[in-house]
Amino acid sequence: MGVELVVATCLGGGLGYLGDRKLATLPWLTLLGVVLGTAAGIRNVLRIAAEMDRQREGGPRGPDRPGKG
Amino acid sequence: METNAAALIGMGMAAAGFAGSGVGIGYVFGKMIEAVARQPGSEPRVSKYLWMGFALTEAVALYAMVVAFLIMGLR
Amino acid sequence: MENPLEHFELHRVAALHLFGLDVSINQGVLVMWLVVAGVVALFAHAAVRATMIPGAIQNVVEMSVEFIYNLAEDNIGPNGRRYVPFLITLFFFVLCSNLLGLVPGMFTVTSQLFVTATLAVTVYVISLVVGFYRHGIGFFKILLPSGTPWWLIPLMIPVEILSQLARPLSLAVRLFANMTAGHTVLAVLFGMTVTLPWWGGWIPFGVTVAINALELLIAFIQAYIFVMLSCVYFGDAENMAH
Repeated sequence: MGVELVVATCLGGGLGYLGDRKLATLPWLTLLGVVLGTAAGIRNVLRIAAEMDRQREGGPRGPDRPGKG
Repeated sequence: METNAAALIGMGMAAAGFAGSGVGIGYVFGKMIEAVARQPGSEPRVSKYLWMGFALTEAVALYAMVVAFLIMGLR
Repeated sequence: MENPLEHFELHRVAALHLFGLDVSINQGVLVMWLVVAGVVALFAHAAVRATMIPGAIQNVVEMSVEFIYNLAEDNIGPNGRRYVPFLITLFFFVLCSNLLGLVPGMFTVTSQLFVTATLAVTVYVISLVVGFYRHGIGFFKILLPSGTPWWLIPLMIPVEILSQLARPLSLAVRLFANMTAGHTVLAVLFGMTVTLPWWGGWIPFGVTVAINALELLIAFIQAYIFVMLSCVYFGDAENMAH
């Protein structure tokens, strides 16, 4: 899951870098892209963590039900 | 020192940044195990923070790898 | 010691040209055929003469199918049944490709970025098509979680677009990086085993055995994570739960 964060950051940074080369505004667009990419990555990780928790609470019906813990 | 050799040494040193992340991930999961052992009912609530912490710690290791690749690419 | 990344290269086995495109057969294609044959044989053995009290292989296949069925239902909801054939195919293809790569001398199909990217893009395109089919043009609302204050909207949209685009990319890169890294470590360690003299070669050999076991575990885990994240993306497209 750490790959999600890094891929999103690199994607944002890469897109920002490409935009920089076209518009000749190095390095600001790259920095903005990296920041946005990091934010997107953290969003993805939080979303997937919430899904996994929702799945685990709704899913398994084993002996450790939360009421007995 | 020619740039080729310097670049390779730099890549190796950048990749050595994985070491801290190994310690960090072990710490995060160890604390999680400890917390769940202490109070098993808290597992759904703590595991949210577990995945967040794991992702951030591993991300630092992967940033080190990205830096190594950047050095290789921009040699 | 030769370059440890050399065994990932693909060499042409039989040249084949079709309509001007180069569709030559290389090692990757051969191993993919082998994977397909293996999966078909597994399911044929388990399902063609299915008995009420399952034998060993039928039991394992039934457990895996039920596992993926539960995964799909948990994540996608009541419509999850429709995705299960695709998910089972995906799971078994990735799992068998990963496992077959561990056999000495075999090529790991999923360690090629093109293969994993094809699978990831397929999953993502399916989720997009399903999203547009079910929700029409309102599918773009998935970019804006409910209840954002109005001044945050221009910031949220690029972030959400990036996070959507990062999904298939991360799906592809995760599988590719895990497989490639594992096999590269094995190649390097085995090179060390071979080049050391007989009294020193046992230590890297022991570590190679341990890391081979780790690769076995990672093969299963990565296949499971690929399919689980596919289910999460399908569920997002179906339900637009935000």
